[in-house]
Amino acid sequence: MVFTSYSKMTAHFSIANFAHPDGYDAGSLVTKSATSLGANVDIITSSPSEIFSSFNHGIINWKGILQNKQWLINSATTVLDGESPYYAWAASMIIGELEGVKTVMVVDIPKEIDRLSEMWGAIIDRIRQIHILFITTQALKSISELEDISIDSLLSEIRFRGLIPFVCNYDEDNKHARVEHSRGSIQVHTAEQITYSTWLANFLHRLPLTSLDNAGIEHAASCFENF
Amino acid sequence: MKECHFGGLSGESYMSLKLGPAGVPLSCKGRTIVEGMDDITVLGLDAMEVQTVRTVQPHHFDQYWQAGILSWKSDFEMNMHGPYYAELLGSKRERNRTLSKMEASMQAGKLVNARHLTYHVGPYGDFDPGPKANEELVNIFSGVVDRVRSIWGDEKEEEEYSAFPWVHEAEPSLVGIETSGRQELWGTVEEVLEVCNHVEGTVPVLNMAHIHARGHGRMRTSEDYAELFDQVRETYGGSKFYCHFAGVEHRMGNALHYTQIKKSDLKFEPFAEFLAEEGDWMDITIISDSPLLEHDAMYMLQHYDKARQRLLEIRARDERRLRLVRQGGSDSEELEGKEQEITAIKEVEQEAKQKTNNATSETKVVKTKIKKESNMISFEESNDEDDIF
Repeated sequence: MVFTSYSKMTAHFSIANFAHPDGYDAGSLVTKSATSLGANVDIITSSPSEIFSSFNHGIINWKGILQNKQWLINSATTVLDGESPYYAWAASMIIGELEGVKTVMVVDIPKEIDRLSEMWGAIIDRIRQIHILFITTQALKSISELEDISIDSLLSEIRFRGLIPFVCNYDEDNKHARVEHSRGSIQVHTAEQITYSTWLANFLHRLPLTSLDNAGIEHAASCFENF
Repeated sequence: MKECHFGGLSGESYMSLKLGPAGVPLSCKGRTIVEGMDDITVLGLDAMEVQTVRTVQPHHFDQYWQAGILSWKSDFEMNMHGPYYAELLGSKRERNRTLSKMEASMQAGKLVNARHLTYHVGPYGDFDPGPKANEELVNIFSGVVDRVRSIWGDEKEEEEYSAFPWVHEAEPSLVGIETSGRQELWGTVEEVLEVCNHVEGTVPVLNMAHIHARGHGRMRTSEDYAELFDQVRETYGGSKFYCHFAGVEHRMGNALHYTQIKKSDLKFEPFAEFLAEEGDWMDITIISDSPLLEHDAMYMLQHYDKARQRLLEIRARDERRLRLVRQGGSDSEELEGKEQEITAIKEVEQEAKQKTNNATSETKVVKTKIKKESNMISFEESNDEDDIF
């Protein structure tokens, strides 16, 4: 297991990220953006001598890692990477729940698109442990077809049925963010074109500092003076 | 099965309580239902609710049969949860889509020997809350119950299913209608009881988190649970209950988010207290659908055991008192009189003790003052509270 720690500045913005060693899964991208924002980040993955699909996940001390962390960022595609990543992914969310860490699940489409159903099924199984469910625009289209629910109502339907505190998406082409949350729904346009990972990292950075009503969440979703 | 005897002195009446998680335990190393059942049994739990909340996967059917066999041969109670996306009061298209998903869970329910199939109804749609919506649902659920019975009791299939005897020998699954946790969703306790009352083969699924949230935090004391179960008993009858329990965050009568039980204002202790004290007539299954599935199921079991232990202690004390009364040849009034006398004597003694204590502390104060004034070395025991030795 490799444990990488980045610590820059803001004490209120700390992240644990269970990542693929190649660092290109959706959660890793968000973590990289968060690091540039000054987040205190711990990245957990397999060591170079191990194969990710069968790495020794038993030695991860999730309790120690997640203590005093604010966010746990996981990628949905990790469940398809093999048994070891799946167990580590699942364990991280259980310990996260026990430790009071909020889980952020970043849902992107898998490389093997025919395994989307398997991936989405695993997310639904754990839906009650997820606090922020971010779905990329591509994944939104595919899940909408899978669930036979229109794209427009998919986010609210998922939030409504799963009782997830936040379900969100950022459309990079249209610079448009949508956040369905426990107290309502907001849509904002960002002034600049940014990547979804940048938007989500910024949202995670701002969210703990705002009130959890529509105005506060809108502020968190649209405030980009750091860029 | 835990058969907990609460008959007090006679020990005749007892309750049946089954507890388990909603799905394969989170700590289970395997991912199949059978492996999940093994883990649940090891944890001392005895029920499970299989989640088919999205779709029933055909490749799961093999493990469903295995789970059915295990459940049939043991005393393990299997149950099944239907789809999340239910719109039974929606348009014809929406209703049919929901029914087709429900059909898959009915088939799977037969394979796993499910005792209950739990379904949501979904939003009110074009209906207003009231008799029309309920009538519509009575019709729909009558059809669902008929369908379940036709799936289970097909005589032509008897040979084909000879290895799976429950298909012919066991009662078909009961169709559970779940209470909802939001104002815009059909499913108050009253609505659920109303529909269950009119459709034989249905059973109310009391989701305590939903009832608590929708009732603006109404489930606070054991009396609240007693009221709820009295309402169910009076309206619906019977002694079999199927419940869900989880922590919940709620606001304005709507469930916002499920939480672990410890972090919610919905506590399990009052429910445990009610079950221990007044649940001797009940046959109840409680499914933990908290984010910490089996951990919270264990937590519930522990609290139930504690409540039962407390009650047993109280009963044992009462029993001892009665025995003493009988042995002494005095009646209970005499004993009560004697107890009052003893209490009065104790009170007098306590008062006297307090007075003595006050007097001693006064003397101590005087002594300390004298010591300070005399400024001489003393070998008397010090009463310095800071002295850790």
